[in-house]
Amino acid sequence: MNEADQRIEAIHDEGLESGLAQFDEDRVKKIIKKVIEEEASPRLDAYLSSCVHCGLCSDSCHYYLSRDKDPAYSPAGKVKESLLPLLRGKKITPETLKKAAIISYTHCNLCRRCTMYCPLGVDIAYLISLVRRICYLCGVVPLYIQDTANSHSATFNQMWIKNDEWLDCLYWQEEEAREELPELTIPIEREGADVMYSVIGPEPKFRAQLIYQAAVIMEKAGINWTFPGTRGWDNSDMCMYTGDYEMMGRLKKAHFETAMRLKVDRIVMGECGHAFRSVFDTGNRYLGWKTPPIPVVHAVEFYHEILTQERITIKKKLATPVTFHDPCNIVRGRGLHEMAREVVGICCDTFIEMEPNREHNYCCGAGGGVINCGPPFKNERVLGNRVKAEQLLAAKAKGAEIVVTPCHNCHGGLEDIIHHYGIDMEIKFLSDIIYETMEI
Amino acid sequence: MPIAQGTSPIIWDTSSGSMSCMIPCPVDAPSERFPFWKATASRDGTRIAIPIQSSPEECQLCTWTLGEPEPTRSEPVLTIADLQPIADQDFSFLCQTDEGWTAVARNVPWEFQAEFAWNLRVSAGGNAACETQDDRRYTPMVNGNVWSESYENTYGLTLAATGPGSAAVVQTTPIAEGDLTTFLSGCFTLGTEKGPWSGRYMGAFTPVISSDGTVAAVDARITQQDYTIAVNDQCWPTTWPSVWAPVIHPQGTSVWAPVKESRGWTLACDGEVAWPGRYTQLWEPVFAPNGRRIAAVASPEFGQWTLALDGDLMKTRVDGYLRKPIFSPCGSRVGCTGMHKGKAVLLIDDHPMGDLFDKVWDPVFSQYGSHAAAKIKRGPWYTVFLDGMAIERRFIWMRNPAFTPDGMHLIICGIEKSGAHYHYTREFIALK
Repeated sequence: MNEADQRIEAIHDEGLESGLAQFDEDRVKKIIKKVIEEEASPRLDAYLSSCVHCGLCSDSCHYYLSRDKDPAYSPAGKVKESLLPLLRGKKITPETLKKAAIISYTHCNLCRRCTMYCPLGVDIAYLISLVRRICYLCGVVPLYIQDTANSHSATFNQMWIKNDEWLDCLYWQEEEAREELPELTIPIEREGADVMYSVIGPEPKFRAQLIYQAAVIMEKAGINWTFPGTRGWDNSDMCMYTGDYEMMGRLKKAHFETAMRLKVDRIVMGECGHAFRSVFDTGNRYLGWKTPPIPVVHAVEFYHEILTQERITIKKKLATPVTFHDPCNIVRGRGLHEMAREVVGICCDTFIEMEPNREHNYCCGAGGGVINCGPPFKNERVLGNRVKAEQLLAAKAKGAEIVVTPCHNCHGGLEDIIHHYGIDMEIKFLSDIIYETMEI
Repeated sequence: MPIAQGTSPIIWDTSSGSMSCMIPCPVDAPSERFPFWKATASRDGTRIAIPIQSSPEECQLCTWTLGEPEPTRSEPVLTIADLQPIADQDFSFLCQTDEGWTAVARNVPWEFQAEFAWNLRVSAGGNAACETQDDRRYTPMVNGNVWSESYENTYGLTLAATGPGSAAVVQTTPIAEGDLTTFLSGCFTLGTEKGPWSGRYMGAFTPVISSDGTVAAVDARITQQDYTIAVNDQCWPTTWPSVWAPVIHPQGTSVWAPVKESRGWTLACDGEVAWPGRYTQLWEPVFAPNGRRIAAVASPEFGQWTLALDGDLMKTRVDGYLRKPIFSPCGSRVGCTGMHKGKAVLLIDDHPMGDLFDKVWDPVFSQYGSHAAAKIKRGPWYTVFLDGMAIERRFIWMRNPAFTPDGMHLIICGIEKSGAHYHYTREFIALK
């Protein structure tokens, strides 16, 4: 047994084990048949028949590079070890399913870097997502991410936040902000506003200062905006990553319907990458909307707009040298890398590039729901992204003291890497540096 | 008798002509800070109320009445939320004081004080309800009376249109973070003022209740991968991979809901598939008030949207979205709003009505369907689109128009800028 397989066998996760305890091979085979025949698009056949095993995807994967080029961590290798045994194996055992679940949920961030390097354009993330879908339907999902998906089902946000707690947070942040700007209002349920601002659950739960900062930025920019007071305020979506597409659709319907009910012109999303993927790409299409039914603008685009239109002014640029980490979902997924750099350039004196950067940047290692799979997989996640630590250290050696990244998951992933590899760097959101440098 | 949407109560029918009152801009507030977006007119249009910040910590409800020179001001409170009309001339709202949150309905505060109150609902029949939280227990209240039981959480409180009945999704068992077993065991059901149903579901989403309150239904998640509709504590015998919110026949005789089959979405009635068509998407079913027709939003192919009426697709397609259909009181006409090629659209009986507005609100119809009107927004101004023509007025705020029951007049209520001040106007427009 190779090292990667030994590590997989050593994993004990309650979510996986409880699902595997109900293992029934006939049922699993029926689920696989259903997914392949009724859900998988012609892409599946095209990808599987066109992959020539050239191995060019390997060097694009941070897991592969960080694990000293262990083929078990190459993108094609992960498909071979997870999807193919489910599709082509005559016998499917609990071990087969467990291995497929661990590889698909925790050895791939669905970052799509490998797709860029594949000469045939094979979308490995799509294939790995199919494995997750099968595992979800079999009830074999890591505990922590399934718990988050359960929170979505119960409360329509990822942090078990009840409606009064959401509203209470908004009133609290308004009260706090009025000490700085007495005229400030956090408008709730403002029908006809130009902008509905939506965030992810961790903001009211752990990072309420981001709501405060957003309110100050909106106020000073003169934006006619609103927060929803109802379900639909949270744009996050771990169901997309567990493979629970039915619940993903329910979440996105609530989000867009809230915007429609409020008659807003557009949705501005906070600094989150996976939520953008869900709202802008995956969730809307699952429901039948070719594009988001209400225009969706990521915070990077929004900040770029209000800064370049001089709706807010920067009082004094940040003197501390910064570098920028490109979140996969808004860079490879949306191409916002240049806008983000312009925002950083407007707010900061010294900008130091990480290498590689822009669409070639390495994932933070947290994306694709991997960080949400929790402590049993943390070690694998951090060790599987040594190349990110090397990137950060190189930027640090050039003088960068702050990593700016407009994504919550990236913050979580980079925090773990910085802590594990002992890198003395601070992590900030774009709104942190805008708030810190703007005229108030 | 329920009051049909878009049709005024009888009291309005005795008036004619226009009335207006001045709303002076507060000395201490710049005009752009006057919170007109919070304004609410009474149902008969004779009064308008606006919560206004009287100090950095306190606000008051200011109410202007047509024919009276000065507004009335409520006692100062910390917060006013969910302001809406109740009965003909009154208002209801939630308010926070130093003692906690309560509701005020028809100028009378409820005795109960809670740590938090939200989701104020007001029915056409004049009942009011809200959800409350006290000491981490969640308890809906109706007309000042708490439900018989408290819960771990409540969601989606809804009121019967005419009767006193109410329903909400309730969580009956706490779920510790990371406790998959308890979640899977089913912790949710539908509750009413009399208590929870006996069935427990893994999830429950959009509660609905019949006009008289005798039938309640909800879309429920039975297992992690199976959904169905529960009606009066009985689940339909069939499950599907997904369902959307149900709708109850106006006479309470049947329950309908979109369900997802392997070939696509369709409509089911009382547990049986009822429509032959299968669609990429199907949701938001609505009955005509007389119960003879049912319409829903359908996507016949990816990225295309239309209405399905009694199982037949309409011809008009939009590429953005369509909202829940609206029937005329007599059921003969149906309309909806949506978006096509990035512009707001109003569809009436399968015809797009104009493309001259930036935003459009749900249409209203006269009693026998002879006229249709909708509030619209062009640039910064609100006005009304009536039978295909925009009324040439520029309101900075307005509420949805309404027809008098005889169909002779359209009533519009709005605020216009007038010099340094503002005028609130209620106007009766004679119809041909």
